[in-house]
Amino acid sequence: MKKLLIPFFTAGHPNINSISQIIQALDKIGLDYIEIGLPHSDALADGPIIQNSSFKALQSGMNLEVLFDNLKMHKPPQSKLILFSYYNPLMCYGLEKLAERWKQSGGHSILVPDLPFEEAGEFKQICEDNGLNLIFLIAPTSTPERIKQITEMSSEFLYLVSVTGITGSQQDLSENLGEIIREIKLIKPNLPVVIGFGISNPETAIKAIKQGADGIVIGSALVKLLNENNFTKAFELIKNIKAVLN
Amino acid sequence: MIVIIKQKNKVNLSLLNTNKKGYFGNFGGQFVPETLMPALSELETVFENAIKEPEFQLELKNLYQNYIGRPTPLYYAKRLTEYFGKAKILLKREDLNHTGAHKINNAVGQALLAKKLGKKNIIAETGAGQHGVATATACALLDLNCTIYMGAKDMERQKPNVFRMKMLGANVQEVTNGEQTLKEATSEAIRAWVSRVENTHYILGTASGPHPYPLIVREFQAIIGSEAREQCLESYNKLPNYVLACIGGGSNAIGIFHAFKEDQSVKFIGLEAGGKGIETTEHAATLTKGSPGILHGTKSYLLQDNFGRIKEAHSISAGMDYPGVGPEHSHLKDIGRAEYFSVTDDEALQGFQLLARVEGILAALESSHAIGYLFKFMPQTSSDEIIILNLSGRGDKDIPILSQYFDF
Repeated sequence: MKKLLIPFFTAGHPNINSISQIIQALDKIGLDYIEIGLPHSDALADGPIIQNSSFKALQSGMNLEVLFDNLKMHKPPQSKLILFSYYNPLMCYGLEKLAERWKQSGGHSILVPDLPFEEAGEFKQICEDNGLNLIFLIAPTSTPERIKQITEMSSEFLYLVSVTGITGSQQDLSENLGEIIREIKLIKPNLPVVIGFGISNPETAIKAIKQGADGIVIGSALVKLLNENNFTKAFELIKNIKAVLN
Repeated sequence: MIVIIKQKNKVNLSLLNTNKKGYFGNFGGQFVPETLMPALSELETVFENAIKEPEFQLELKNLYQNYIGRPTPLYYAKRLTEYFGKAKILLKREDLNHTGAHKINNAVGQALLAKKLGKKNIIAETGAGQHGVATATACALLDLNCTIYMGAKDMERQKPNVFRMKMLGANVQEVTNGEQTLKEATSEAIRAWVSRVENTHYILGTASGPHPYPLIVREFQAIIGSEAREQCLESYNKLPNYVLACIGGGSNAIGIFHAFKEDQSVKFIGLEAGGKGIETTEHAATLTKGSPGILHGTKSYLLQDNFGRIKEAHSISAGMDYPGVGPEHSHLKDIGRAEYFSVTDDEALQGFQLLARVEGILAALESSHAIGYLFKFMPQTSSDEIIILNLSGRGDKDIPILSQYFDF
């Protein structure tokens, strides 16, 4: 089966005009998904690299309205767009309105890192009513009971956090990832599982795949290169990882 | 007719019971990364079991009495009362606790919970440094490793407390993000917890954060109100008319309110930091000026812009310099059980000075907000009424900042 490669970048970083430039460049590489991070002032699951990119993006005036306007200006990419956002900016914008606008902007899915399934009922319904997928996360600390419940609520794919930690972690992948993937597959054999948070290069990507993952998310490593304005190198990293995955 | 009323009651009860877990009305919940959810659930179980165990209660009671020095006095502030010539003012002297504030009540309680969880490492956030000092103290006492997250700006304005924490063996981590105050320190402590959750307990210092923290902190701070209620009844043979407390995150306020919750005649008044005035952008009046949103794992009132970005707060007192508030206070506000007003930096300083001069008590700048409100409030009271004011902490820690305002 073809492995999924999902790049993540912070909307509005390194600047607001770069949103469509980055999407187009990534789309050209030929990817199933592109994850767009909405910057937030209090990103509890993010490490220093994404926090820093969020800070800069917010300072340059990034918000949901700007993102939607930006996406409207261009032809939608082939890749499916995932919106990554903390819950407060979405709630503040209005959940219904957000779902409608994201769908109209060519959005496909939404991932909310601080919305555990216990709190997600209302928003999941709104997403479904608007033809969007709400993506859930499983962590190395998730209990078997939680893994079961989250898997049952999931469609499209499941996001498995690679480490007990925040994004951009340099720690080794958690030892129990393989076991968690087997548990998920017992419940939903066809639900793809992608690993993210601590994947920074082709080597860690391969390690993740060896654990049984169907794909990987690459965020901080890409954002770091974009921050250095090294776009060529940033997109090369994605191409290189794509090459080793297939 | 009777049957109908009975059925009505039944419906109401079942509505109460179906309240979502961890919510106070529309506020509360658990908005944290999945990584922390199992730890929160474990904490909830350990907490619920512990408070039912006689041995745990005995150990806690022993620490409260013999280590912290409880019960704290409910002191009749005669000269302060005479100054205003209206209602009788009683001060609940939490400033006399070991380490100088109410924060120690919660810190020792949660450190005991950490022991039950089998976790040797403790992390905590601190604003004014009072919770940091209390946590470092509890960790020294119970042989736990302690790391405190504190904003760089707060480290500067609360220097004595930074030194105290270090002397107690704590590692103080400077947080240099954003405004470098309590909000950033809390975010950083939560991130650290995400990375070390398997062997670390997070001692949250205020009645906020994800469920079950608001309940845990309330449980360990409720001793303030239980004592005050009993002391007031014993000395004056009646309940107070008003209970006043300053409110940042709201732990001292919920601590003193809780025991009076069913006493409908007792009015609750919470005093928020009005900073340079709530008509300016520099304040921390979350309940007065905020709107519902999510910060640090809980749904509550908060200061935010139109796109849900959390605003920076301002207050002269580091302990109240926070754009959020505990979810139960948001609920108490919405149902009208408590009223919340704001008190400016200047009014707090006037309160500080008044208490020092007429009672010989140096109050913490946080508690000085409650004192400062008396100038406005006392004329509305009458001499047959009783006010209990929670004097949540003492002012020694504020000397660096006070020395900028008072030139001797």
